[in-house]
Order: sequence, then structure tokens, then C-alpha cells
Amino acid sequence: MAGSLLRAWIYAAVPGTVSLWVINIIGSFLIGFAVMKLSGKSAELRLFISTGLLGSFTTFSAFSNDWFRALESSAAAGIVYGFAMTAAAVAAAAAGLWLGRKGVKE
Amino acid sequence: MSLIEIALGGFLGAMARYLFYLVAESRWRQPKIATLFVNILGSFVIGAFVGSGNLSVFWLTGFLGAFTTFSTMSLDAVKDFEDGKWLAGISYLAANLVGGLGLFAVAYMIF
Repeated sequence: MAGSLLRAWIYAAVPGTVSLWVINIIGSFLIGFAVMKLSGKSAELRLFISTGLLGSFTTFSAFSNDWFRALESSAAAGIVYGFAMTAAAVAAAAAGLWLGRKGVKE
Repeated sequence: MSLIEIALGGFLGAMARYLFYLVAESRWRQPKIATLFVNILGSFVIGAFVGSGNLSVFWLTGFLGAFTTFSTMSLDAVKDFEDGKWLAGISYLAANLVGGLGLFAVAYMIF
């Protein structure tokens, strides 16, 4: 619920197709960070933040839609779009895990 | 008004996704199967909505936005990579991408 509203807010604040990049990259970073920061916390809190808030904030359905549009405009643009979004989100999640882990060990 | 629709749709979409996690966890001890399933199913359904010209914010931004997820998919792939399971991680991402795009296209054409 809150995740969807935050996503809608970014849709409104960031123009065009850039908003989905912002959403999926920030959300993927934060879920990696949260997994580390919340390890050892209650299962309910982890479920709320990771599955609920961040799971709902990021989205795959709008990605499929935008990706299809990119492929319609040109095959090259589409291939770059799909790979770049996925690579950026995976890298963001890895960075989040890494930063969260650094903090946990201290 | 549309904020209420997005909030309600988002709540229901997240709950529906969670139900799939519970099933995947109890049946196969493998919640990532649920993420793959919701992403492919959600892409099919958004294809049907967009293809038929129905742009309801309750369904698109609310329900389907929250039902599908990019962050959990990314995290699951990174966990595979950290365990050295490169092929599993790449295959998992490819299954999400190809399945999601493919079923979006099918639904978009049909509806």
C-alpha cells in the first residue's frame, strides 16, 4: 500500500519512462540494504519492509510494458533497455547488500 | 480519489503476491518460484489491460504494480551470484524477462 503510493508519487514527480528506472534501482538497492540491516529483527518487520514495502514499490509489470514499447520502436533499443534495466537493478541490489553488510560487521 | 484506488489496489496486490510466496515456500521451499510466477502472470494481465485500452489505476498502478516485483527478483539473483551459482542466477533472470515479455506480448495481441 505505502509502496504503491510512493511509486505513484515518483511517477508523478519524475517525467516519462525515467521514473521506472528510479523506482526499480532505488528499490533494489534498498531491499539489499534492508536484508542486511534487518537480519536478526522480527520476521514481521522483515516481511513488512522487504516483501511489503519494497516488493510493492518496485514493479515488473510496468517494466514489461515499457520494454515492449522500446522493442516496438527498435530491436536494438529494446535489447539495450531490457538488459540495462536488469543489470542496473541487480547491481543496485548487490551494492545494497554490500553496504548493509559493512555496517552489520562493525 | 485515485490515491485511494492505488493504495487499495497496492494492498491487495501485495497480499496476493504474499499468498504465492506462502504456497511456494511450503510446497517447494523455494519462494523465488513465486516471484517468477507473479512477474510472468502480472505481465500477462497488464498486457491484457493495455491491449484492450483499459488503463485503470486501481489495476495497473495499484494491484499489478504491487503484485509484480523487480527488487525481490534482483535480490534473489544476487544471492545466487554470491553463492557462485552463476548459471542459476542468469537462468532465473532470463526466465523472468523472457516469460514476462513473451506473455505481455501474447496478451497484448489477443486483447
